[in-house]
Amino acid sequence: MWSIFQAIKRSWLKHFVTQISAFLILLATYVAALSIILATTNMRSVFEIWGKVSDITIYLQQSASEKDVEKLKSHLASHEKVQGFEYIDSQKSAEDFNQRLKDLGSELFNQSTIQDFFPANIKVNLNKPYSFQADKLNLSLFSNALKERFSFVSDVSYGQNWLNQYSKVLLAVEKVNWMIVLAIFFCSLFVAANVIKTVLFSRRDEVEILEFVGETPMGIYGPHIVNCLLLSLIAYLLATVVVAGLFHSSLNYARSVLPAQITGEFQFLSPLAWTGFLGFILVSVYFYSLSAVSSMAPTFTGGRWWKK
Amino acid sequence: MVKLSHVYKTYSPDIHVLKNVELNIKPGEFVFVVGPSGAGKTTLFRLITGFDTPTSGSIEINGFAVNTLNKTQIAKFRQSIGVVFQDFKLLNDRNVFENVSLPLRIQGKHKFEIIEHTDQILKKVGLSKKAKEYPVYLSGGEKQRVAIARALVHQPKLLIADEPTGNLDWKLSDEIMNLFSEINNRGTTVFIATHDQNLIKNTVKKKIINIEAGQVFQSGDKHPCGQYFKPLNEAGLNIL
Repeated sequence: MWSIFQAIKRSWLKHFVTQISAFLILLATYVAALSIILATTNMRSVFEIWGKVSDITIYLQQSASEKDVEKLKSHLASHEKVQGFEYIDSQKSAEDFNQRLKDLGSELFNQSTIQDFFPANIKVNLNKPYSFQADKLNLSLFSNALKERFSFVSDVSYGQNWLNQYSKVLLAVEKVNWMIVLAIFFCSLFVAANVIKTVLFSRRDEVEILEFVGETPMGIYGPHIVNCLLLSLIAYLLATVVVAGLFHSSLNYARSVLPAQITGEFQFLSPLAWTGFLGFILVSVYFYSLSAVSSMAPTFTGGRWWKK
Repeated sequence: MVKLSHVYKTYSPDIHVLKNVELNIKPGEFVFVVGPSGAGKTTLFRLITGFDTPTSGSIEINGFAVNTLNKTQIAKFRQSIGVVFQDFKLLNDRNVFENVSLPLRIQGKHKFEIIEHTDQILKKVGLSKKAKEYPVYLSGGEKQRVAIARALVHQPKLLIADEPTGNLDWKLSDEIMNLFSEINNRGTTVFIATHDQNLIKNTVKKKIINIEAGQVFQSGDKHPCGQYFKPLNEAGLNIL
């Protein structure tokens, strides 16, 4: 173990600029990757808040009779998902619409003219907020069941069109983010592998001598792999500190401009995700370093001495 | 100690560097491999040190079947021999002591053992006072003595040298050859590849192997030109 650290120390003393450059690049890539992962997971949390469904509007056909409405009301009253509801007829709908226009300072429509365009509806309060993402199927089943059971129900709306669009955009952004993270991650592997190649190439005479005097392949190349693993580990730890600092300062700012309901959902990476990502980095760096060493090893079988 | 049987080395269908090499070196022998440039000395050397594998045939050294070893086993094999090079192959960022003690460190010897053995060998090669010096401040002869000390510090039974005096003047060459003779007198088998015939003329009781166009000839062998090799200076061969 001591000889490995001696070899690493020698490598740092001889190639300080290369090593420090590699470390800074690794640090920058991990900061970027962690920041993107953090932004993506928190974006999903915010969507979870915005995607909570607690109100549903059941639109009725013009042909719906009072008896039909009563039947629907009694069904809703006994439904386990429903906490309360309010029936709004066409006239009230038109009045509400005009009231909203009035609030905006707009010119009012003639009540009797527009009344026919506003169907009667029932506003239902659900017993708890349902997640659009997690309870998509439940909400859809609830909505379809109402339409199938009561033929006079023309539509059941809980903002699903808007939420669907938003969900698609979010998914696309997430995909792009993960692709960027992967690209950045492979850049870091590329850097680690090239540090090994550069250092080994510049020390090829030394490697050749070590081979002559009986050093094992692990003794020669092992310290370079350990060095890359240490560089990655330290860069990752430091990147975590940097990203945590940025996150908390951003959170303080966000708290001053965003509602507490949203900022309350912001969180740093869970220990499991953090450790998982670290493990993934170390395993990948190990195998990439090994492949870099393997690709360089044939260089030394024909050293200068042998070619004379 | 060293046994080569039916060894062929071919780099392409037209380039046959070694042809049916048969070699048997017994423990304690002092062997010179001589021949002109391009005769195959270096290839033979590469095969014996495990840096190349024969196209066919077998090589057995110190109980190791060298041509069948994997990389880790090759490293273990090299730990059992000592190798000296024409261009010394010293690590310039390490001092004499560190260079000489390298094989012992690689073998994981205890610190005290490293110090004891390294001091002893440095004394033998007359470099005790230069232990802290870096190779760049040493003369050619001193560098070669450091290389010889490194090759001997782990007490190998076989010392292999390729043109060990190639970069030295005649006086230093004599000095180094005397050192090799001393080492051989203590029981170490010495195997030297050289094209310097002056080295051979000045030696006695040494086995000389001639290598020409990839073929190895020993005393009594018939040369392709029809003549027989005969002893030179009591022990060597008459170089044709």
